[in-house]
Amino acid sequence: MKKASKKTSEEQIQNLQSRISDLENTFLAIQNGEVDALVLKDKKGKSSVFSLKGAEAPYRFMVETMLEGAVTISKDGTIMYCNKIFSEMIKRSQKSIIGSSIYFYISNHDSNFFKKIMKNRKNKSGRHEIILIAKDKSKKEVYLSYIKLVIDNSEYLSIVVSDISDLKQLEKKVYENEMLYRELVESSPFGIFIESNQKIVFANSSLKRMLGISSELNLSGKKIYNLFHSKSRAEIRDYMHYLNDDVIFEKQSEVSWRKIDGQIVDLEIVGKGLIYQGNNAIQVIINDITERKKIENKLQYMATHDPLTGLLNRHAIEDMVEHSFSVLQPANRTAILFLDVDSFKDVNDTLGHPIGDELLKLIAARLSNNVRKGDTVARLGGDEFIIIIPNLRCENDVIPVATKLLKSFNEIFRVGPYRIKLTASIGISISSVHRQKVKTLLKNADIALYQAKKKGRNNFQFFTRKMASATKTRVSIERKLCDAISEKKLDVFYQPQIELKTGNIISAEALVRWIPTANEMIAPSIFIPIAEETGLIHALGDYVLQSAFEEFMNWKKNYTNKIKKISINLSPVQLMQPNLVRNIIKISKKIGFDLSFLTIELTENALVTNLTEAILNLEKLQSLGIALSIDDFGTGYSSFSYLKYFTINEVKIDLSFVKEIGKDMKSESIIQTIIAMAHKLKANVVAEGVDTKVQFDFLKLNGCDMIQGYYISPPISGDDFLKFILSP
Amino acid sequence: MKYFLRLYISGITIKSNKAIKTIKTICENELDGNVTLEVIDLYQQPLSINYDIEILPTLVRVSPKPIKKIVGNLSDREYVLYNLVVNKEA
Repeated sequence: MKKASKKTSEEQIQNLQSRISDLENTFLAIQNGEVDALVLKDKKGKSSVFSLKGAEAPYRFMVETMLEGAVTISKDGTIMYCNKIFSEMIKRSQKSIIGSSIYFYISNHDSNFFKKIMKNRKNKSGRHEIILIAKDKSKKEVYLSYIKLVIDNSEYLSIVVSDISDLKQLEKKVYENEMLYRELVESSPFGIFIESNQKIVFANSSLKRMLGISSELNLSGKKIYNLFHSKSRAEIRDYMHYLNDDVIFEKQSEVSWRKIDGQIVDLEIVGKGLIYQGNNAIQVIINDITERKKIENKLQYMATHDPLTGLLNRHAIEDMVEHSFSVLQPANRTAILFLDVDSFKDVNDTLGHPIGDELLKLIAARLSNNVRKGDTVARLGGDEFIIIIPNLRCENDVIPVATKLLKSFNEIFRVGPYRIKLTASIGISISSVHRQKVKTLLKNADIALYQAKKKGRNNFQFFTRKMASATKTRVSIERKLCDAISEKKLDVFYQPQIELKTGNIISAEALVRWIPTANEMIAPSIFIPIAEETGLIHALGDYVLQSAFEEFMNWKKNYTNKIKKISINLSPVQLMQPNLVRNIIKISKKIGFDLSFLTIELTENALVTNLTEAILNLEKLQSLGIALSIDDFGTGYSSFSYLKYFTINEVKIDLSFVKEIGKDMKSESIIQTIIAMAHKLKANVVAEGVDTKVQFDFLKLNGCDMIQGYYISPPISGDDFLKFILSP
Repeated sequence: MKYFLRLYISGITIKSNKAIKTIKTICENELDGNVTLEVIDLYQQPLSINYDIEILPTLVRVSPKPIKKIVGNLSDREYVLYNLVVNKEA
């Protein structure tokens, strides 16, 4: 809107100016005698042509009808003639004006001007601005064009008077607008300058403040790059060329330039072409974004770095690898090493998280010190690290790096008073020529890491296709198992154990069975390890305990007192769980199960990994009256350690020995020895997997206390078990 | 550039005669003949005034725009040419 009205004012001014110039030319032509005739319009607008033969009347008629004021004065200032427009300008009648002095209607200052031109013989014509004073003392700004006329040897001044008060108002408005804009530009926090012909033609004070230049300095005519430090000048010159190159579009950029004092500032620059005072120019607006940049960089750092170790984080890894892809030759590969610190959880559990965190920092530093320049170490979270090794010519190139990383753990870590020995496992995946997605590479490295862990830790493994399919099956079982547990779709079966002395069924072993569909059964040897690795074992264990306790109470309370014990298997993972005992007590209380009816079966390797926690748990369990049984006795490495640490209540002879009864003398001897030793330690002996009468007879003869196996019954449901026990 | 000029006169006088001659010379020599010149004698065609003409003779440049009136010594070749040529106004 503003722009439009401004344009109108400019047009108005132009119109007025050309009107005045036309009139002047007309008068000049008349004065010089370049006239044959006058064209006059009457009040109805009809034109007539009058030939000019020195006649005064037509001339007067002409000045009467024209739109400007006209006045003719004698040398002493007496008004000889004035037209109607002039009389209206000073709000007096034509009659009263003619004969009076012009000085009566103008100020003293303007009077002097008239006196001067009258005196000056050479001054024949000219222009001037004066102020007319009207009858009511109001003032009017007018523009005069005057011509000296000589009539009958006397000099007269013929004057055209144009009212320019509107024009003056417009000019004032334009000026005010201009001042307003100037004020806005001056008070703007942005540095603003206009450059024309490679020189500053305008600059506001914010620019000086921003660039640390004295506010006294006049920047007009200076070159913008000279306001910066010499190190930045070439760049700024290039930048200004770039702005000048194509001025139609607004250009926005972020730059870092050195101020005159050498300090670096981040600037956001918007440049655009414009016409300034009739010349091509560029308007440049500068915003100091140094602070904003600092914050942005900080946020960027926080978003891409691990706050604990200062290494790159998970988010940054993807960009990093993508970047390595983009800069490398396709023949060169990138390797991703997925490194996990073995048993790191134990450090947190035993020494606390603050020590664990300190240790992670040391590990991060050690890893960073043991990779090559150009390799990247990142922390994925927890004790998981990623090492990105770009630019490999062949897969084998990664082996020395992985070896070096593993070796770096040989040196003991010292945190405060603690000396900690650690090992690590590494899974390696290498990008193919096709460059898989980074996520796929990470996943593959994770799969390889899993294999490295499985192979006894402290080693590295390369990812293979075979691993992927095994993992796929594992993951699918894991998902199904999770659903099965929460939906209680697992069955607990019970295998009867009979006392050989009496032939009575006195106990049962609870065994979990998973039958996802009518035709499918997944063996515990497949899903139990998965449950152990994923932690699902805890939920599964609770489920088995609860089912078995409920079933046992049901048998005992309502039907028979013959049943004395129930055996439940406990996985090594469960045994290491600190709240195991509390959990068992909670479940037994809920159901009203007396824990002295419970036998817990442990496999031999249960004690291998975390002895301390396991021993604590086992002692607590025994103190609650729970019997401990060693499962698969004779197959592990540490069978006798158990017997040393604990008072074992029961030993279960592994079915591999029982199967050989009647076939292999050695196995029979081992069985006899186990029975003798167990009895010496006051432990019961149970034989598993008894399928035949030969086996049954041998065991009975050799003083085995109890047997279980298909010879008696396969594992059966709780209801079937009850029927079995009640049958004669 | 095409020029369209109108010369308003009041009968054949010395001034109008000289003006026509000068303008024709300009048209042929300076403006390469790209000119249409109309001479309008207001004695013969009194109703043909389309512009604010105050004195005669007056030369009007109808195109190129803007419309421009030229009065004064129209037999002065330099003066007329100076006023006729457009680009000096830009």
